[in-house]
Amino acid sequence: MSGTRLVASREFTERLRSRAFLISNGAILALILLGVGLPLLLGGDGAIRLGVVGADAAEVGRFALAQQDAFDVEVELVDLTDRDAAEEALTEGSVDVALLDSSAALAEGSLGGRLESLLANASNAIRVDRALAEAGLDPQERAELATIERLSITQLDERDGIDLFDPSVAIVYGAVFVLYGLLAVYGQWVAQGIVEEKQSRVVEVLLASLRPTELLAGKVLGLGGLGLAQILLLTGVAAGGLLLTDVVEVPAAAWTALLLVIPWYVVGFLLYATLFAMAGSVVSRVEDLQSAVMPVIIVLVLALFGAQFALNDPTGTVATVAGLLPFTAPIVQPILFALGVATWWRTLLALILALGAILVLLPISARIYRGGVLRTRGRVAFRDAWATSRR
Amino acid sequence: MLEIEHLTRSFGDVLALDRLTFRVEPGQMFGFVGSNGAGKTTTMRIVMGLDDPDEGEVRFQGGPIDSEVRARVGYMPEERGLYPKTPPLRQLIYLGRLHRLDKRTAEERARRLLARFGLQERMHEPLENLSLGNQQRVQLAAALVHEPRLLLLDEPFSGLDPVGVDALSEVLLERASLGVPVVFSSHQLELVERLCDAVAIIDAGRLVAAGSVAQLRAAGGRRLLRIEVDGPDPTGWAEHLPGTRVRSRDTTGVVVLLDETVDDQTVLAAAQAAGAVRHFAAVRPTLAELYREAVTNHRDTAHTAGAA
Repeated sequence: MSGTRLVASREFTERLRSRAFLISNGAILALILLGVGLPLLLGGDGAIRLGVVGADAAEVGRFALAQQDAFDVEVELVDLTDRDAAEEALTEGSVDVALLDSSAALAEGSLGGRLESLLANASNAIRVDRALAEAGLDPQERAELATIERLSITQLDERDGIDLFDPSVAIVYGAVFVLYGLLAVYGQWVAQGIVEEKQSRVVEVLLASLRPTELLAGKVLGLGGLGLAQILLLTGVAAGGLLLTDVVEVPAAAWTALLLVIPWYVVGFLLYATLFAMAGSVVSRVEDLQSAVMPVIIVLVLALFGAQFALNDPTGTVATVAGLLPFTAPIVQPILFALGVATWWRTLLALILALGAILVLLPISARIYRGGVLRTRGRVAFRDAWATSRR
Repeated sequence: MLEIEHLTRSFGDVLALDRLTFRVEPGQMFGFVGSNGAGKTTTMRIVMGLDDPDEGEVRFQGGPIDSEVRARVGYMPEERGLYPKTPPLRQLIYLGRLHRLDKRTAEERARRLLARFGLQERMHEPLENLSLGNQQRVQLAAALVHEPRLLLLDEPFSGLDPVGVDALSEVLLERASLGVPVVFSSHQLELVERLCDAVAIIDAGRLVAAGSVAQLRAAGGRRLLRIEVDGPDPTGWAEHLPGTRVRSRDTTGVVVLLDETVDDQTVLAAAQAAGAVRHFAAVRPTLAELYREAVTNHRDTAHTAGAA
């Protein structure tokens, strides 16, 4: 056991020391911080500053304020003295758009559909309001009529209900993509480490004082531990950033799904590590590794496709099955959870199935490793590695 | 004491080891000699548990070699094995700790060994930046870092410069003087002859000869004499002497091989008859000569046996 611990700590620290590791992690962290922080930097508090020149324009502005929620736009009013002041304010960027009277506005560029609709509606509302005032309605009645009720829309086809730009989906999809990347990278490191030790023959020196299973276990635990530390750091930074900056509102299901990515990483890594270890055990040179790990990578990519599929059709058979199968569940199940279609018991079932698969594959993988680790010439057939497995 | 007992191992149709048996005493410098493919590496791999014999067994200090015992063996594989990107010091500390040393002891010994091999300046550089000779020194340090009770070194001297050879010889002799059996294979037979208390010569997986170099000479039972005669015919007189054969001749003298029945005084008398005898002495065959003779005889016997 102490041998396993030594191997694990070596794997952990050697990778941690490597420049490539530090640079790639720095880059990912920078991307996350950018993703979380950029809207904050660019958008300020997100409100559109609406300049108003004169009483008519101010009245349109007040209607716009009253109706902004219906158009998903946030505006704030800035009083301006005249057209020259409006142009100056636009140029220096202290307002985004300036209303000159009840039906004309100045802007630097195009306004975007929602804002334009809001302003057109507000300007129209004034005319309606005045007509209603002439017809004798009191302000209370007029204000009620001016309020816009959102249409209640029932979607016949609920599949169209998923919005990729929905923040909770985007967050979980991002997390799952990172999970996929970590499984691919750390899994390949397991295979690569095995082959490098075979190729450099250092394995013969190591096996003088270690049992093969200790060496393999140390490798898997060390690299898996580093991956776990990494995913904890990344999700921690992402979650902290989201909480602190409050850029988007994250629903509870997304938080849970984000947390679920962590146990799914652990399960997924162990599962894929068994496959990657087998691939590494049967080749002798790093150059031959690519073809050996290809089938494993294909399975992993299929899992990512499964995640795409789940996004498009979360209640379909493919998504349901992919959410349960051991090799696709780690990537697909968190997505289904974030979309609210996976129940706790389904998550639990998927986890149990995956753990079962690990229990089945671990001894097989260890046996292939024992059979192949000392065959330092050429490629070993799986059957030979299985049959000649020692100790 | 290391005992190799009736080891037999075949790879497909090739019989790599054929009932190989020998023993190495505590404190012995033991040279393991044989041509390429004779079975030296296979033997060492079996001792290290990296390969299993079809038959036979290996014992150390009377018991079987298990993983606890192996943790106290210093092994240098034929194909060198270290991490190319890890600096020597870190590498040795890791290997020392795998061999059950605590961290501080491992580091202390690693630094001492690297200094001894003249590598203190290079111990923080990635191993692959070092010259092959220096990598070899690190490999040796790796086999020594845990102060093993048995040393098993496959071609430890190949690729070393004379300074490296001397440094390694010194370290190995020092370990042997502490009672550690030191087994190493080598093709540099002069070196083996100079360093070793005992040698084993193997050929095609079989033990051809074993013992001290002196014992091997005696076992050969052959006497070689170099005789220089100052006379009209300094070499021709030896041509038809009964019970002898001229092994080689040059301008000043001859080397004569004597049968067991022949008295060397008879030969001396014949030489004196030919002229003034300037030189008359036994020639001690080198290990290289003994090796060639042993292997040739062994192959002849095997061939005859095969033909019969």
